Amino acid sequence: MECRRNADRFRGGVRLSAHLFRSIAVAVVCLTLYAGVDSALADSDGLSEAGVYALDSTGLIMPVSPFPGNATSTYSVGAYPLAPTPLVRGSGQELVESYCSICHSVTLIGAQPHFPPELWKKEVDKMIHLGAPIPTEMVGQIVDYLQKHYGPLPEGNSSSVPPSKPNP
Amino acid sequence: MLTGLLGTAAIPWPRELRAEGGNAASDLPLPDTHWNAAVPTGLVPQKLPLLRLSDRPIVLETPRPFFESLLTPNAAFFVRYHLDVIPNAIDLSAWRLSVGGNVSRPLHFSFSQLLSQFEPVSVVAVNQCTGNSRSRFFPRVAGTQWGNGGMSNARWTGVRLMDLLNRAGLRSHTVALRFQGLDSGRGAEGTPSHAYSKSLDPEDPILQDCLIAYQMNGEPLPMLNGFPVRLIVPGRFSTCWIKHLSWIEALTEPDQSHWMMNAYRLPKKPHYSTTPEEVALGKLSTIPASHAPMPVRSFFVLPDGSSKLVVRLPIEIKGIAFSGSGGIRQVEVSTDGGRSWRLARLDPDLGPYSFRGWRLAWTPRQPGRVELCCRATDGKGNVQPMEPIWNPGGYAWNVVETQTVFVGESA
Repeated sequence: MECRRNADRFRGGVRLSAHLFRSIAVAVVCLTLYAGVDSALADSDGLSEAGVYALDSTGLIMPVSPFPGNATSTYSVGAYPLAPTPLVRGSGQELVESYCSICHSVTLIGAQPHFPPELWKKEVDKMIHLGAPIPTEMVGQIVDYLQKHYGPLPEGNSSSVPPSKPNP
Repeated sequence: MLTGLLGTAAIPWPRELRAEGGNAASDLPLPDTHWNAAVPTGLVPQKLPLLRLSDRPIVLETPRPFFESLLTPNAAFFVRYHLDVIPNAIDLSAWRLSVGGNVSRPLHFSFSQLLSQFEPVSVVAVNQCTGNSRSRFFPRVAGTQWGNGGMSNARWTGVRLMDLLNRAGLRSHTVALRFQGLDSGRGAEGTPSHAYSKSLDPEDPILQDCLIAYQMNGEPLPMLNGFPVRLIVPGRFSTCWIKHLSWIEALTEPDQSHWMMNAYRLPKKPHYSTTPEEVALGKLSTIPASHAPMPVRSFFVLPDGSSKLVVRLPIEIKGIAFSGSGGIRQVEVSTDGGRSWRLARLDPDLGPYSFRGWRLAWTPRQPGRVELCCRATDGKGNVQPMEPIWNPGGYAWNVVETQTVFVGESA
């Protein structure tokens, strides 16, 4: 009897978590990225859902796969967690966020070593070659921002010291 | 188990830096000396906490302690995507593996047909990112700043690629076999950021050993390692181990895509090593990384430098080694920074493409700092280089590893 009540409480807990999960999911829906999977659904390639991410900065949306709960032929793992490292504050930051984030998290920018300025220019050119839709007149501002905030450290600093305080 | 995640593995400083006392090049960022990338862990579906190099596209490094097991657990197996539209859900009733292009009989296989119509075959093989250990390069190069954990080892089970190709019947004038999976990117169609595909040469002998794997260590593949099937190219870098494999196409023209022609190119030179000056001249001849066997490597797993050893207390030095060229012939270990070497004992062989475990009993005789080095020789006689290599992609690092340990007093 005691066991059953415990089991009930446990199930209740699961329901609550699921409810909490859904609430948070709704709250961040505007931050969730969706790829154009409508066409994929119509395709015969079996791709039911792709490129779905959900913000995980709080750690509340745990990237635990949803319990399958069915025996259909669809295999799903739920949304992938987004936890981007914020960019350093500065002029050009919004441009970098807008254009670079189309294809990848800005985490990748801060994860690079403090490259010499010419290497950042080369990287932006490479991304344009890969398909980044950066208008020509914006390229300069984006490169300036990256060179200024992710370029060489001021003299006397070792490479292990972070450049400056990121956005909260 | 996760102690020593940030155990340091000192690597030799580039000669210029040593010569200048480490100051002249201070405006250039130095190589990272951590065994694993020094980044926070992240949780993603079907995985244990792994070192998160990128959250979108997903790039995760395997922490060092997992290499105590020769077969990397699926939940700890590293993950690397180029593009971020990664499958979240796949319907196997609609999914097909297509073999098309220049073939006599274009075919489409369902998952259950792969299971029922072909003989299952297994191979233990290391999957290693071409850019594994990129953070060691000096001057530093752009890209995922991997520590040493951009690699894992698993027993793959599936269908021989040749069985599928023979059934479809490759026609003459096929010059490339192109492989593509379900993952894609948000770039415009026709741009490299929209699709990732790789090609192999139809004459490449490695095709005989390639599998289309539906099982990894006896389990379904985790989504992020390529569910429902993945191309296994034993002994080659993971750049051509296409995940979520869905299309195989026989081409009559060379594959001119960015991913074959611009990215993943290795200098056609010993140890794939060149210099920035030589690159600047623009005459460097290169080959696709997917066409080259992975160079021989070896690693210390224990001790990892995270805690002191005790003088006169025996330990067992343990590590792994692998190569794309005929497995591992021998592993030598130095306990004096490379001045003298002893042969390690090799663990049982799981096959020429697997991690090979090795171990050596050692008793530190005096307190102080000790530089341990390990150096493997592969089945074709290739030996790991002692001096750093460099190439602009940050590829194929296989320099001898050094592990610094501190030995403490016991009285």
